[in-house]
Amino acid sequence: MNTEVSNDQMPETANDEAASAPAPTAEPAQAQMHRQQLDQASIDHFASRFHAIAAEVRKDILSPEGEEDFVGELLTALFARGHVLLESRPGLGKTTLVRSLGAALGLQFGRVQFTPDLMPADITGTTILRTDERGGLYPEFQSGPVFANILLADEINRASPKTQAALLEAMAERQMTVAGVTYKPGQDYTKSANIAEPDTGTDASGLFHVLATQNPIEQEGTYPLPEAQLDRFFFKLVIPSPDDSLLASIVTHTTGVQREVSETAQHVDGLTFEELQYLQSLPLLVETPESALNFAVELCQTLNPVAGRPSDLSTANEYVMYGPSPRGAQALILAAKVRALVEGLPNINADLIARVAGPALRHRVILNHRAAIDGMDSDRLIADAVSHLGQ
Amino acid sequence: MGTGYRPERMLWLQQAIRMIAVVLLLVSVVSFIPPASAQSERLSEQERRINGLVKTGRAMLTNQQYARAYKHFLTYARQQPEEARLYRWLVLSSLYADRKNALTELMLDASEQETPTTKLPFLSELADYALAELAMSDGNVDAVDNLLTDFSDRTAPSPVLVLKGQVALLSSDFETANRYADLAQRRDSNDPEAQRLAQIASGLFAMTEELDRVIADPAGYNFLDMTNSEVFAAALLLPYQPVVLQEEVGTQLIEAYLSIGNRNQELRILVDVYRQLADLSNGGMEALMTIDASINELAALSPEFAESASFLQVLELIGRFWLAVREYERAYETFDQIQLIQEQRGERTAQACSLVILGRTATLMGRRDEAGDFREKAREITEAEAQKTRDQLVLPWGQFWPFVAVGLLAALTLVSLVGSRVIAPSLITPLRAQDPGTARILSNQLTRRVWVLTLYFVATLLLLLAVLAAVTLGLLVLDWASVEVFKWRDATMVYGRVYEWTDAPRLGAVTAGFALMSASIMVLVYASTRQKKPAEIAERIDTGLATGGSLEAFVTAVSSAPMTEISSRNPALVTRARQVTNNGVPGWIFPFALSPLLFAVGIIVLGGVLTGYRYLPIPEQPTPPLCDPDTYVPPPFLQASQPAPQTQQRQAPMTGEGEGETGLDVSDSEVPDSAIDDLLSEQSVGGLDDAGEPLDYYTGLPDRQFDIDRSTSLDPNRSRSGSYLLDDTGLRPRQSVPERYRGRWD
Repeated sequence: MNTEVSNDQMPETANDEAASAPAPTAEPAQAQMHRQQLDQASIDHFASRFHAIAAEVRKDILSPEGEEDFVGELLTALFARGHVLLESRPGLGKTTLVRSLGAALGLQFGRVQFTPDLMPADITGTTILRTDERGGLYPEFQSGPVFANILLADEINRASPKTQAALLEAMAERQMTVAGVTYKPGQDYTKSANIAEPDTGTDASGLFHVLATQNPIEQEGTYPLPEAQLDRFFFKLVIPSPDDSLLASIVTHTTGVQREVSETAQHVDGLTFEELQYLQSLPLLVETPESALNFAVELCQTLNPVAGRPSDLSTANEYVMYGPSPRGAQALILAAKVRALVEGLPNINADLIARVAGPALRHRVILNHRAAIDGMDSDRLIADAVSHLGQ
Repeated sequence: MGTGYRPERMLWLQQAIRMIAVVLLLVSVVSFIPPASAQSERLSEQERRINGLVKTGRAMLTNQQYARAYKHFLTYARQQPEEARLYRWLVLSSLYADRKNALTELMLDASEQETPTTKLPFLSELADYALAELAMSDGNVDAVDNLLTDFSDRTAPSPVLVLKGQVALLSSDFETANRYADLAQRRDSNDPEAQRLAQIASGLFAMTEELDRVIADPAGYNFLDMTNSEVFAAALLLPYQPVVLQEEVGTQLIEAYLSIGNRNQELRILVDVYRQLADLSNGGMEALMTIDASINELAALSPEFAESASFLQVLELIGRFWLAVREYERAYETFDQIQLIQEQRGERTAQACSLVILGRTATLMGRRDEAGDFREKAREITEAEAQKTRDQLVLPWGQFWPFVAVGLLAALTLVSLVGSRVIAPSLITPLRAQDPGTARILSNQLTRRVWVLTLYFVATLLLLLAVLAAVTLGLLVLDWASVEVFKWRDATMVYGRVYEWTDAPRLGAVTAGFALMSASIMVLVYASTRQKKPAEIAERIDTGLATGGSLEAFVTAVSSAPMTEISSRNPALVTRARQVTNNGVPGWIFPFALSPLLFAVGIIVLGGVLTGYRYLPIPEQPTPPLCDPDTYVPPPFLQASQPAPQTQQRQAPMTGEGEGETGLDVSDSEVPDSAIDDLLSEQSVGGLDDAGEPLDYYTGLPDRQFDIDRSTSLDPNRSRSGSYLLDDTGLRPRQSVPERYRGRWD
């Protein structure tokens, strides 16, 4: 549960995990970044950075105890190089969450408010004609908000499919072509004055994450995302409505005296663009034991009954219209790997997979009308499947 | 589809109708057959009737009412002409009543007529049988053979088969005689003559087989086999067979004797014994004394024989023989020797029986005080034997199983030390090649875990058994107390019966050993049959140790890439796998998940329960009755040493008609055991002889063949040919009635 908190009104209950986490030493981190090796030091470094970033974000976000740790899940998706679909009612702090995340990471933050009349060029940018000193005209690319490291696509289901497709292409390919020139969003914008530089082919990867929000209560005049496009989001996070006490806390903290700067989300000390890239590479080194892999596969197959191969889970056979694609299994493994590092493990296990199954699969399990009638939702179905498989 | 004609259905219907018809037919047939019980009832009624007739006639013969007996059997043979047994008794009574010629004429007439008439209702074939019996009494074996030719073995009645067997016996064809005896017994299991024939024929058959074996391989023959009671008893019967039979066996014995030489001295002595037995009828007392001496010489020569059960059996036979011939001094010595040997061997119960016989012998000898002493000693031994201690009462549990169990566990340990290859070979073996250190630690860990599980299983089992033992102990004590303390019942329900199972400590040890062994076997079987993939085993270990799946990840990585690559790519995984493996090795193996105090209490309770069994009161042991050995000696034995009737001074004292002397000679009469104590002070004790002589062992009839002159003047050369008549041998068939009895009732 979260809500937007202004920078000058920092909640006192901000998570202090960062304080307890071991402070990373810059020099070992630099040394480690040059070798692709997962030793205990790098695992500890990853976990400490993860907790530090989460602590910074939690300075602006209030979340109830015992609820889903959406901050942690958001970071999990981030370190797994994934995009996130946020779903919540208005005013629950989606924008604040994303902004705080950008601040904590020290990355370029961009935001697009999707409307029905939003055009693709409004996102990607466009080439315009400018006059030089001699009065001549020359074309110049005017970059759009997509040229950021973290892009908040607010109410993405309000834009037309055409515009959605433009964004989703950038999400999938992590590149875009405007007027015949290919650009790669998500570069280190602190080093370059021009944030939109054509791709030279030297830097293969950047840090580009789309955090899209979706308003579930207004359906009129919206263009729901097609299943194929939903599948491109690594996680779907649902931010629940606050209960009485949390709502009171939110109101108290957002309507009082402006908070000190130190009480709001700040850039984590020493966290550089390169280090973030390095941290994103670490999960790939985490080992996947056979049982965990089997569990991920069986979970996806259980939730994906097809003709000729019914699921062992009767409710899945009854309610599932489309099950998870292979991207779902990939998301399970990658997310579990990030969680393994956070927990100091050099390997994943079935338990970690079960814990990330909800956000990784809930938007990939498309239920039929019978599920709606019976009040079945994908989260329950996923929980049933996990329970069925003995986790 | 319509419901028209269907051939399959019709076929099925026809078969069903046929079956029903067959069932109905069977039911109707069965309903006409008289029930089996009614048949057997009718048979048994007929059987009872014939038995009654025979019993009545026999009583007449016993009472020397021979003419009346003859008339009785003649009357009822006319009424029941199909009963062969009546013909046999008719012939027998005719011999006693001296009506042999009259009966021969009658039976010849009956044999010649085609169909029975009212005047002569006898069946012709049974008349032939009667004639054969009459011919047998004359010793005319060939005539007997001719008369019985028409009888089929399959349908002939028991008396006919017996007669055929007797003929075969006289021809030394023991196998055929044995077969006829079996057939006769099968035809009529209560026929005493069939029993007699069966015993003699089987004994002689066995003896000749033994002799054949001796002759075939005298040096390698185990002489102890010849001392088995059946063969020996058969040999003892030998003197009472016709001379031709004795000759046959005697010849064989001589051949055996000659072929043995000095190669088997013990066997020679035994053959001597047999030869002397064969000559017993002629040698009499001297032969028996030689036999006695030979047997003792054999025992002195062969410790194996002296320690065998056969030695005592033979001695007892000799002792009974001495008793039978009224050589009480010798019988006394023999049974005294027997009881001393039994005392040395610790055969207390048998010794008590021998003492009882000694007591009876002493009574017969007039040594009444000594007899009392023997009886007293026998009683003491019997009572002492009855009062057993706990150690004697409880079952002797072998202590074999605990050692087997410990041995198996030791073997399991060795196997485990080799490297747990038995426990998880698929995990350890590939890992050993890649990472020996981790493999070794993992192997140790698995071994210890197996041990812990095994001990836990055993401990749980033992605890359950301890509880069961405690409950059982309580119930047993309650059962005992309900009789001895509370007097609720007169006898315990199960205490006396289960007391022998109450050696709980040893039982516990055996059970524990068995449990350990079972656990070992289970572990080995489980380990060898439930082989899993390395990843599966590692996953189980991960679950047990809560390692977060690191070991499985490590094993999976090791199976897919070289160790160097894994170490460079994910050294944290290698480190963690080793660390969790190390941490997972159980330290102190303590199978009880209990506090030390509780464990101590458990041990004390278990020990207390097991000790409690040790002090269970011994159940009441009733004093058994004093041994009552059967000292009856078959009548044939009496004949050997008895003087010929002509020289016998004693006459039948109880004739019923006041005939003869009525004085009672009680000096050699046996006194009932129960009366001896009361009669010790009496100067004259005893009972009455029935008719002055013993009855026939089989038929219960007065035995009348005392006058058989066994000093044969048989020409040896003639006897070899086997073509002499029975009269030539000097042996008369048992049915021959002595002259002195003939005409007494006239």
